[in-house]
Amino acid sequence: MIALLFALAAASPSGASVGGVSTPTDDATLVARFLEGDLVTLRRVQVLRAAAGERVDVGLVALLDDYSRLVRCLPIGGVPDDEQEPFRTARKLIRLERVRLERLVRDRAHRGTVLADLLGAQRLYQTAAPDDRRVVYWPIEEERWPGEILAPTLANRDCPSRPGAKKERPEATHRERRRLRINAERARVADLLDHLGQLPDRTASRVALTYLADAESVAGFVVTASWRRVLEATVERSPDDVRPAARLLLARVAERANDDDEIVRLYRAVLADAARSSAQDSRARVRLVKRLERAEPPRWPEVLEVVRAAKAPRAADEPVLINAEARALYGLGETEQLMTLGRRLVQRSDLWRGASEGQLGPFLMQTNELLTLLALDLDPARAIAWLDEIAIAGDEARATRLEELAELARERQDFDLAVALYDRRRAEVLEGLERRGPRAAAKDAELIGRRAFIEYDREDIEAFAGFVDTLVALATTEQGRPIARYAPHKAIARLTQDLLGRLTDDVKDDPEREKFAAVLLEANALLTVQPSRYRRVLERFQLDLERLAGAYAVGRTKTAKPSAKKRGRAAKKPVKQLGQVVVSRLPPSLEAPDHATPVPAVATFLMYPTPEGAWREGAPWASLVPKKKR
Amino acid sequence: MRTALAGFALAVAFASSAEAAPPPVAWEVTGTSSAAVRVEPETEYRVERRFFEKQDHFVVKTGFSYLSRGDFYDNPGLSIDLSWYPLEFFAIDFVSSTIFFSQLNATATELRETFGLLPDSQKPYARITGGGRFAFAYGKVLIEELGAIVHLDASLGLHVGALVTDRTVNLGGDTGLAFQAAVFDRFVVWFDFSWFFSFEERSGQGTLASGPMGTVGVGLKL
Repeated sequence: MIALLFALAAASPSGASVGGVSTPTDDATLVARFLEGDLVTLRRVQVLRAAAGERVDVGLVALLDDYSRLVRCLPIGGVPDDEQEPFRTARKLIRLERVRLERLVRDRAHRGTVLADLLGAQRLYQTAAPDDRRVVYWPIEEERWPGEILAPTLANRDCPSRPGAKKERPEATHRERRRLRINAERARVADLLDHLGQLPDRTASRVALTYLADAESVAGFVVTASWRRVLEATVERSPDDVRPAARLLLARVAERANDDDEIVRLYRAVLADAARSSAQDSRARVRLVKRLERAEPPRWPEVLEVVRAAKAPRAADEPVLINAEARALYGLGETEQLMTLGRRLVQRSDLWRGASEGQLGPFLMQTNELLTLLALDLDPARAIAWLDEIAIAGDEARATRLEELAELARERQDFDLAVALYDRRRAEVLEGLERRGPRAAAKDAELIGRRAFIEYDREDIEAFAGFVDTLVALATTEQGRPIARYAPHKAIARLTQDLLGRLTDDVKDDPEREKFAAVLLEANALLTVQPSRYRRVLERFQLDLERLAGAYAVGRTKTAKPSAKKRGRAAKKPVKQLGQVVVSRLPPSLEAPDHATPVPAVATFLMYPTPEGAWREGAPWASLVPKKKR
Repeated sequence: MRTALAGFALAVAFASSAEAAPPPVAWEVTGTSSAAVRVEPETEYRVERRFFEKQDHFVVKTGFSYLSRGDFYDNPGLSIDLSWYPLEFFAIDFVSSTIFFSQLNATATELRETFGLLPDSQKPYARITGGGRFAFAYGKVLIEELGAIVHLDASLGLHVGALVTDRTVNLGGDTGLAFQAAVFDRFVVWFDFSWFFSFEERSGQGTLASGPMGTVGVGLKL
């Protein structure tokens, strides 16, 4: 009994310090334990401090509690209004990551981020006290015994094994909720803009990058100039892997504000950034040259400088840059340089040589058009040689180019060139007459019609009549061949249609023009003898032509009425018709499609405290992830 | 304020197809909420480092014992136990023994002196057993007057061995309830109440003799 009493008197383990479970109360140890993956201690401290009347919804414990919830994929509540910096910002970052985590497990988004480390069977964090026989758990009672501390339990981890595992069903629900999550993520990013100045450079740049990417992806969303300045200041201090992409996005966002000077400055900043990728370089050049092209007046020398500095443009961008260079040279009147560009271009087997019209795409087609226009300034022989040089694959495309150019030459009253081109075309068509048969004959009829038109412009009635007679003869020749049967009728109808208006004006001043009407009238009359598809059309012209032919309406085999001989040629009046004098204008600038460049994936926005009291960027579980998994 | 404006602008742009006043997004959708979200369960326990730790320790105990089995003998004794705890809650008692200093009780002495009769029960000399011990409870007691807390455990023991008597060695054993209280780091105070039994021959017949045995003593944790 004495021994027992002695023992009782001596055996008094007092409080947590003697034999009690040790729970750190200092912040440094608490952070260190957390970084080692111990969530139990954090929870104990939280409960202990709360029991002692301390606030645990703000400050370090609250921050670590947010992390504890994040790593267990549990919901996280709001940040109290009176939370102080830097915890406020750090906790907002955690909430952003929590939304991203939800997107990972439900939408399979952000798969490459460090959030993926939290999934799977591998548990990085200790969420329950180890099964330690050295400790005793006492049920909660009213009595408070020294040496005992609260032993709170932690809610189970709720992280699925793989991304997308918690996708909602049905699909419509998932789509709706996915939209809500995307909006929530964007709102969280936007909420951090006001904290950019307090964030470490890397984190701030990631926030800015994400915000810009979001802003760019939403059609019609405009970032105001003041915010662009804030974002630009952040982008300027970004690391190399983020800065060029962020600058590019900033410029894209600025494009919506239509501030030309700022846009040009921002794209030039991308091009001056040594860390830019070739894709970013290519995209920036395309955007920049389009902006320079549309300046008033166009800034052609700068376009040339930007385009010629391109080292490895993307396949989708190269035609745009070539087109911009061609347009700049054309705009500057640098014919020789443009021809050199054209010669270089036609050697490019990846772009031009062997490509058909459809394969060239709109930018190279317009470039081809510009190169074709150069022929207008050359003599006929050189023009044809040049056109042969820059010809694109396919008879049709080349033929079309020749005919378009011939028409342009005619409109510019460069009749020699127009005649040469049409004659060249006729020669080619007739060459293929045997091979293409009636189709070639039909085409020939069309070309004869165009040639006749030129002769009208040249006021050469004999030649005009010759071509019209050829058409009439062709109608007789081809009447047995279904395809070509009505081609001469069509050509005469088109020629009459094209000239009717002009004849109406011209015969007033120049009675000699009546002969042209007479020739057309005669052809019309001959071609309407036999029933045909064009008979009604041609007949409709006859009355007008008869009036216009005046004294010559009797036909070439009869003598013209005396009135025709009395009338002399009146003095020519200057041409008043607008649109007849053609100046080769630069075709309108094409809208360049913007091919996106990859936006660097943001591995994490997180920042966490160290036991020493500093802040570190990154995920606090980085050191806990097994190397194999990483 | 700036953030609020930008956030508002984004919300307007991003949720262009939404209603004029969209309902707040439930935390189940985004994992976050503007309101507090309770996730941790209520605390149900307090935890304390076990003051009386036994696992991987030997405990040697000694104490005063008394066996009473209705055999006309008073059986005080001195006990020595040696136990090893491979687990916190289980011990192997390598030795659990008692040396008895048995004397005829007053009634038997009087009978012997008057009639020259002796009881047919055998006089115990020693109990030598071994067995196991299961510590099924851990507790603590507050000595209010002293302000002292005593940590103790309660265990059930079962021993088998022999009872050495004045005539022979009999098969015997015991089972009982023991309380061990920790004193400082290495000492224990020990109280054991067990029921001892043995087979022995009385008047030419085999008989199961049994009775309670109590022990109080101290021990050392090695």
